[in-house]
Amino acid sequence: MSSHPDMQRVSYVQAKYIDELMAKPHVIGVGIGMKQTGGEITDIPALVVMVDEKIPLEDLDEEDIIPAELEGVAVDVQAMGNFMAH
Amino acid sequence: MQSSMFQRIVQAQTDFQEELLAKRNVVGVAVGYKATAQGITDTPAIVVLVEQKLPVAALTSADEIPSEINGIRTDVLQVGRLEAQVTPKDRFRPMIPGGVSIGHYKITAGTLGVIVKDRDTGEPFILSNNHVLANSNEAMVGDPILQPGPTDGGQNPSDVVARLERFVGLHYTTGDVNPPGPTEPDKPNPTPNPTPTPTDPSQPGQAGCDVVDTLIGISNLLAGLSGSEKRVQATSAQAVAQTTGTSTATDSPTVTAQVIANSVDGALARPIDPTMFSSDILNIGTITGTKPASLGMQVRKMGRTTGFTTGSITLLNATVNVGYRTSLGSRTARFDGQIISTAMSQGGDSGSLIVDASEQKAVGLLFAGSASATIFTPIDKVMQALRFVF
Repeated sequence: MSSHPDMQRVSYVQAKYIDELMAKPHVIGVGIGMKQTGGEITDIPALVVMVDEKIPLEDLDEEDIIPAELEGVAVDVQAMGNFMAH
Repeated sequence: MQSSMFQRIVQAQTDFQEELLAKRNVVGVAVGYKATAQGITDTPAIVVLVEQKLPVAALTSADEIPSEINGIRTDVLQVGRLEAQVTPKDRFRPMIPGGVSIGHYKITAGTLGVIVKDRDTGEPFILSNNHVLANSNEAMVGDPILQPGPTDGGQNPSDVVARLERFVGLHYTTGDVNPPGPTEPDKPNPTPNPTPTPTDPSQPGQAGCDVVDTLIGISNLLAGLSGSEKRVQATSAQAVAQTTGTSTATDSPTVTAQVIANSVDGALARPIDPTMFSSDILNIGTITGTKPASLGMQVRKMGRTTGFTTGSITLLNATVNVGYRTSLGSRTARFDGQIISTAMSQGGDSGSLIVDASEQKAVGLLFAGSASATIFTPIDKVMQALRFVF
């Protein structure tokens, strides 16, 4: 992955914004993966923001909305439920 | 088959079953239709199940199965050796493989990942999670480890197969059940989800000391409500309920708390008799090395609850908040540098070794998940933290 310039970029953006993203309601994780569209995995590297459930934008305060991209890196919100120790 | 005929056969079966089962090679008796070389006939028969068909010449007359009993035909059916289907929740003796139920004597059950070697001495140790072998920090080195885990019938002391050797302490971001460790300057608490109180009845404590722990929880809650700073503290060596100022276990998110990211939920246990443990993982085999994770990589695991499952890696370098049920209630622990795959685990699979799907290489140590994802730690981090090799 490290040879992929896009992945390095995603990694940089992850490190820069992680505290801000983790502080938003419903956010349970932030990782590096591929953007998903309609349940299909694309080949676009993305910063993936994991949420317990997706909330309609109109029900969120402005500061709680997760941006669609950060410094040119795609941000993908993926619903994961709750993470529990297994 | 007419019901009167059926009743006659069942009666004959009942009358002669003991006699038939006493014969050499016989493993069962049932009612069915006689089968011939041409296939199944419509003749009802008493079917005698044998491990292996033998020529009549090889049998003593006492072991021969008569061709008729009370006018009812018999049929001999070879079924091989009958054994209960092996499940990973079973008690495995004399040899215990990886991928099966295990647990600290006060927990429910988790999974024995694999046998590893101490990096310095080469001694064999059991690899699993802190929350499986060390009761989420609340254990002491030397505590008994049962196979199977308590919820699968493991008894203390008759099923004690190992003793806790060492573990990586877990740091929780909510609640105050942290092991002593380095501190960081206070940061705002970013935890997005409120945590249930320690006495939430929908979150039962773990098996073993529920009553005492619930009482401690209630005492702390009452102490918090009354503004008292006196708390009943858990007194095990590794987990002391810390109290800071007027904060309580029911802190609101506005109270500051440090967020320490964990890397590993891991522990090692020392087998009491190393010759009882197989280096193989059930349904997977022997591990020959390690391999770094990559996006799209296909992986597999053998675990106590869901058995053998496969998945593919979807996220790398993940920071995640993970819920833990401790004796003092629900806690959240943050982890960074983790790997996420499609869902391939449930509660009880914790401690499973994640193995590459096509090579016998370890990729990670499973410890958490949700209905749609499984979380594991890169194996090299686990090896470093717990000082072992394969």
